[in-house]
Amino acid sequence: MRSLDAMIQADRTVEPDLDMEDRVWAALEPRIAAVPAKPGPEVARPDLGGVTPGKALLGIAAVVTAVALAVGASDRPIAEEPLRLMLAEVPAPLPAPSRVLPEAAETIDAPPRPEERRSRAEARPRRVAAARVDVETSEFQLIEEIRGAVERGEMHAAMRGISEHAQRFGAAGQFEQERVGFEVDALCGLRRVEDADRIAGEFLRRWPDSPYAQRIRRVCEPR
Amino acid sequence: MANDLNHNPAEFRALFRAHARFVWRLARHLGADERSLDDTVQEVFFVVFRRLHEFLYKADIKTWLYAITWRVVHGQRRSSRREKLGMSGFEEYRARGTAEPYSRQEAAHELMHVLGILNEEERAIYVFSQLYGRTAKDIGELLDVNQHTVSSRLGAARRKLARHLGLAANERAIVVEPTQPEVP
Repeated sequence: MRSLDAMIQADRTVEPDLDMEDRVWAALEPRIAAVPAKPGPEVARPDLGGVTPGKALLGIAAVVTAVALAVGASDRPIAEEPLRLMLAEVPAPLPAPSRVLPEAAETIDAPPRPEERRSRAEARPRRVAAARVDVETSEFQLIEEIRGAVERGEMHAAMRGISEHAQRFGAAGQFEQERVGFEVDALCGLRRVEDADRIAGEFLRRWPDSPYAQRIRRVCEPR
Repeated sequence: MANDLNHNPAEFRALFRAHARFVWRLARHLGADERSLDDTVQEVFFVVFRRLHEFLYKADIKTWLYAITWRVVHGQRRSSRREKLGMSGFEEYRARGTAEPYSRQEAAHELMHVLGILNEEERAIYVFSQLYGRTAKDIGELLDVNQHTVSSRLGAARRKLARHLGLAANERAIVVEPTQPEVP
């Protein structure tokens, strides 16, 4: 069955032709040669022990490449990285969930200007849209809380969030794939490897072309 | 302190080599004109070169490339109104029907056409989130919008895609063609 996920999977095979870099560099080189050198920023740089900023930058590129190679990702398009990337950054503490987004609240509460008056029938879809945004936001916040718990290694808290998400949003949630992916993570973290494998298997059967699939296949492997 | 990369084209060239293909793919996903992707990549790295003195080595270079590529593509699209081309491309694809074999190449091209129904911001959020796995916080910073906006735009993008392909908004596997082999 073809799906949007399958399109994304197929898109991973699309690469520039082999000469792209040479062509672009040939056009770029004279342009950059014409740019006068600029002074660096007026900020204190850390002592790099003789390593120039340029080398440091190339070092970053080298590390990125080495890490990609280490995980077998050098030839792999970026779309296989999502969950790992999602886990790679600790989110800022989430604000207290608001019942209605400011923009949604404005939509609902602001008195209509004379020129914007609408009949009740016309206004109803806007209220429905605002309510939908509200639901999506609270679901999103819950998913972010789950992600934060997984990142902090608080797997029991993550599992509580996962249960809450399943109960409140079920399969109708916009972030069901993320929830199931985090469940696999949390189960692995709790050393419930058999359960994690089972959930991972279900994930891969339901969403074989998911951008998270590669990550899910490896999630319980020793690191 | 003078910027070493500004003085050392060889080092800048190594940087270019390390990331040119990544930028090419990202620009394509964000809706750059596929006929002039070379120009887009060139423009991105020209901006990178000119702004290297601003790069404070605090962030991952890729995060910086995401932001610059987005701005370059955004500028190009704004000036050439690429959205309309994206729409017409998709309509053209649908008009051809589904009789011919559905190759991976077609599927990949179809993805670009399908993404063409989204507006620029929705497309960027969808691409950053679903294809590149960036967090809402990342995306918010890249596009200078708050996380709630990222969430609601992502939902809107998913609904648009689902509606366009004729399925419910919460259907993650959006069906457009017959059976595909299961990934083992």
